[in-house]
Amino acid sequence: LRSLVIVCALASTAGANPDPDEQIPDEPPTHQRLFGFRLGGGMQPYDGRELTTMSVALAVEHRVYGKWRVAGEYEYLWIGEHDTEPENSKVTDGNGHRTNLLIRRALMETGKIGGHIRFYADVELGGGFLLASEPMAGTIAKPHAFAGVRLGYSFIKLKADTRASAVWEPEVLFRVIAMPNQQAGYFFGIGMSWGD
Amino acid sequence: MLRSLTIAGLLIASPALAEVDDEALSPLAKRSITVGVGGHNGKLAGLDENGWGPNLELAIGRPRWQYFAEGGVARVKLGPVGDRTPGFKWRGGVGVRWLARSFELGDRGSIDMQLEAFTGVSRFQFEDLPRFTRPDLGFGVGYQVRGFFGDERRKQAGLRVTMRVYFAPTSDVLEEIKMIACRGTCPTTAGTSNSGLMAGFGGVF
Repeated sequence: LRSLVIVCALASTAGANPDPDEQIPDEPPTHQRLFGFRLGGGMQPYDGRELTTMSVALAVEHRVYGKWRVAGEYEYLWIGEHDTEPENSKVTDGNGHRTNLLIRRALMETGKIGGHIRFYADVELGGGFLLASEPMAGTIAKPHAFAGVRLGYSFIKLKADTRASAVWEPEVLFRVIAMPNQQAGYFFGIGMSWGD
Repeated sequence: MLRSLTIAGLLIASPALAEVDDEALSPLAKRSITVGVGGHNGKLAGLDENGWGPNLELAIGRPRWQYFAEGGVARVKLGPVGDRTPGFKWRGGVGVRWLARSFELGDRGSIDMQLEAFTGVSRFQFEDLPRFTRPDLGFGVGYQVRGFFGDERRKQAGLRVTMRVYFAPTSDVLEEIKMIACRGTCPTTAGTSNSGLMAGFGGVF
């Protein structure tokens, strides 16, 4: 909860103190929002155990000011424990839901290459809630906070008069997840989004 | 806090999901056929059950909605690692697909995002086990790359990749199958889950 409050405070600060230098240098933004999906996996600590996760996620993102964006995500995830012998076999299996709310900012981005491609590196900070069920843990209901990086490129529309999505963005992202009791996990995902 | 997160999520999601009208996107073909390969990794009464095999789908509808019927067979395995029972899974289903977003590749193609919901029935046929049937339902997300041909883009062909989450009910029959499959010594942590992940890859014509 404390992490979420900090995230919200950071987000409100970004909106309240606009900095004229924060504008993207080359052109106005190519899109105001994104909608997409992602596959991912990682490790989620819980009560001293290292639980493996795999998830399918939907994500939406809104530009709030300059390079600052706010995003929300929903993940359906599988969560469980694996043995390394034999064959990385599953010991337990559960499933559940994870929601995330985050702020994201472009850390680096190129100008348009060939008029239609722009590479980017984003940093992000957020928090969320995991609600899952796993045989040994029972019901897992825990908040978390995370920090991460998101890398990819924007494929910008090829013709000016289209009314379809203005950009298409493949992405890879990596997050470090902080749980209560100073436990840490990680998440790696690949996905793609459509921008309007 | 869960309620607050849900409300915040809905607030963020609602404008992003609502602002693309039907006319903005290149319509889906009125009729299409998809030939591909599907795989799944899930649970049957808590036991690992996975496999892959060919799939066929027939779809109708436009501009952004498709209704489809699908069928396929998969070579599958059931049970714990090192003691798996091989078999076959025959599955048929129906569903609906929504063209959520589209990025146009000039006048000749597009990269699309699709959301879908489906339901189906699977018939399992494992060695040394009684045959049994299990219904399922679920939702999925995917993308496809389409190419347009002919007048007014009426002919289309493309490649589609789909990821699905599926759920199935448990039953006494499944519990009985589970006990036979693991020779009466099922892992105590096996649980009773009947959910899993389906993935599909196919050519759309």
